[in-house]
Amino acid sequence: MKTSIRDRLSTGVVGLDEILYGGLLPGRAYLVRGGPGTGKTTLGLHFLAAGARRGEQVLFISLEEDETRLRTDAAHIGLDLTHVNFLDLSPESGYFAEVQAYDIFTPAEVEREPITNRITEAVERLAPTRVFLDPLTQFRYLATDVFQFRKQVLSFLRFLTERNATVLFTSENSAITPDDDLQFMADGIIDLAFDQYGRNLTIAKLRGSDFISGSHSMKLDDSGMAVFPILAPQRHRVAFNPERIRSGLPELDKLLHGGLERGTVTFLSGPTGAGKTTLGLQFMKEGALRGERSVLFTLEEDVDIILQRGETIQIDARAMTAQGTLVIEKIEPLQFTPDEFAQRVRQEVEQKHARIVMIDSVSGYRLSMRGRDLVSQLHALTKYLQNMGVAVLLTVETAQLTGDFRVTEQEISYLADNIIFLRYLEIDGELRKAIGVLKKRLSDFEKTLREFAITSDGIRIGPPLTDLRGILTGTPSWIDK
Amino acid sequence: MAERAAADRLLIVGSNIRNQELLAAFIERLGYTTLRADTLDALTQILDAAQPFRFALVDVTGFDLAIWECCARLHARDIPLLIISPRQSVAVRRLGYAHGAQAVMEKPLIMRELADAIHNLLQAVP
Repeated sequence: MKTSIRDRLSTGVVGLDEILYGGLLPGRAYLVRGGPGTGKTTLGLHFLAAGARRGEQVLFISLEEDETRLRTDAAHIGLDLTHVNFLDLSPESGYFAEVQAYDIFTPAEVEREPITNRITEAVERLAPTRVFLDPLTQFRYLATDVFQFRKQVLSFLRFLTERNATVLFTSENSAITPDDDLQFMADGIIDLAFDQYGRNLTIAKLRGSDFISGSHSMKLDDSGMAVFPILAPQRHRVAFNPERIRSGLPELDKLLHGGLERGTVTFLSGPTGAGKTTLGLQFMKEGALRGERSVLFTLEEDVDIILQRGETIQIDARAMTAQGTLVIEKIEPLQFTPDEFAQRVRQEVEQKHARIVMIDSVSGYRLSMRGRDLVSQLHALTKYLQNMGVAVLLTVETAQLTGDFRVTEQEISYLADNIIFLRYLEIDGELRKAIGVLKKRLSDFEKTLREFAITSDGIRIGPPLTDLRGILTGTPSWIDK
Repeated sequence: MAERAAADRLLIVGSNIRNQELLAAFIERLGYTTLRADTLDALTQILDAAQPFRFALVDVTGFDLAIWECCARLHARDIPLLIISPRQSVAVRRLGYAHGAQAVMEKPLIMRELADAIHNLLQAVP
């Protein structure tokens, strides 16, 4: 029988629920693994606070940290634990100060019974639907041998789940005390890690349910835990009309045989200063006139500079921003992982209904994002936007101002449905610019180039440059000369 | 009545308070009463006063050599003596037997084994 989303228990972390296809299956026991500082306890706090918000009876069994400190930590990340019950089994400071250490019997013989009694009493009294136990590996010291430990843990988890509790328990695994045994016993495993690319979360096992596999990036800050699921484009698709969107410049629309189709990726290629960003803004300006929202993620230039430049060329980006038809967002270097950035893009598309998304630029994306496989990540993002019917504009900088023609220095041309390029030309000793279309997947296009200029009246595109030859060399000559 | 109380009373000697508490609680769960000596002075007073008890458990950890003199006094009174020694100390084991111990057990003790040892040693005494 398939479990519906309504039957599942929210973990209290939105991104994690998405990875789990709605949340945890009730009445099961899940292992949260990870080294020190990876967020195991924070996840548990979210899990219990989410239950308490729904009026559930929830219980935190702490074998390490004391209740006061846990409540303080939770308040710091904005979680209300008022209705969370605590069973604090952590050692009191008196244990050290009053010399309560003993060696006459083993801890297993002395501690197990009172701890078991206290847990049993609390569970039977409260009948919690959610239990978080941190860390379960402490029980290892209360068992006389490995067999006893395994038997006790299995019996303990069964004791809880038979009473309809959903259990999250943590382990502190190390080379000396591996937790492989706990991994076998758990119904699900949530792995938390912290490596050179940042924090990440992986579901290693989930009995009775599918999940989004892979390493998802994660954030721990003053708001607690946030998880950013890997973008799986195939899971996102909407029906849309692949109509052409116009630029508002008749000459450019002629070049494109009507405009750019929704749900396509367009490279705006050219050397520095040629006008790629401005060209993208032109499409956004026209979109704003249709009442559509556009988003420009700038990875290089500051927002103010883009706004100011727009004002000087009749693109009133400031007014568009005020109307909500344009958002220009600066992405700072190393601010985001690709998953986190994708989540930000998804918010714009799914919640704010953005119809044009521009990433300025591809090289900025590759330099600014923290993570691995950046080209694959960009591919997934553009594929997602295509599936959502969004027109995607990517600016791609070419290193050479003139000379041998290349669309991009990076091996990413396969991402493009359309390629519009800008070129510097030297004509009669004067530096001028040309615009052309190199590729258009869904329609034919004009094969000639046109002169391109940015003036105080806006973008000007001239008639086809049919009298010139050798344009792509950068130093064309007049045919009749 | 006093005789009966003495017959059920076990002397426990040790310098670690927490160990003494745990040992006393365990022995009381077995159905005996305890007489505690947490210091050498307390033990000497008990011996000087000739307080009655039937059996002695002595954890020698943390005491100086004078503890062996006390063990010898217990032995002289025909009190069955169980010495509790730190882990793997051959010297303590030898000294224990030399000063009249019926048994020497190493820490940490297994509760079931300790209960059996007490039971057997008490049965062996008329």
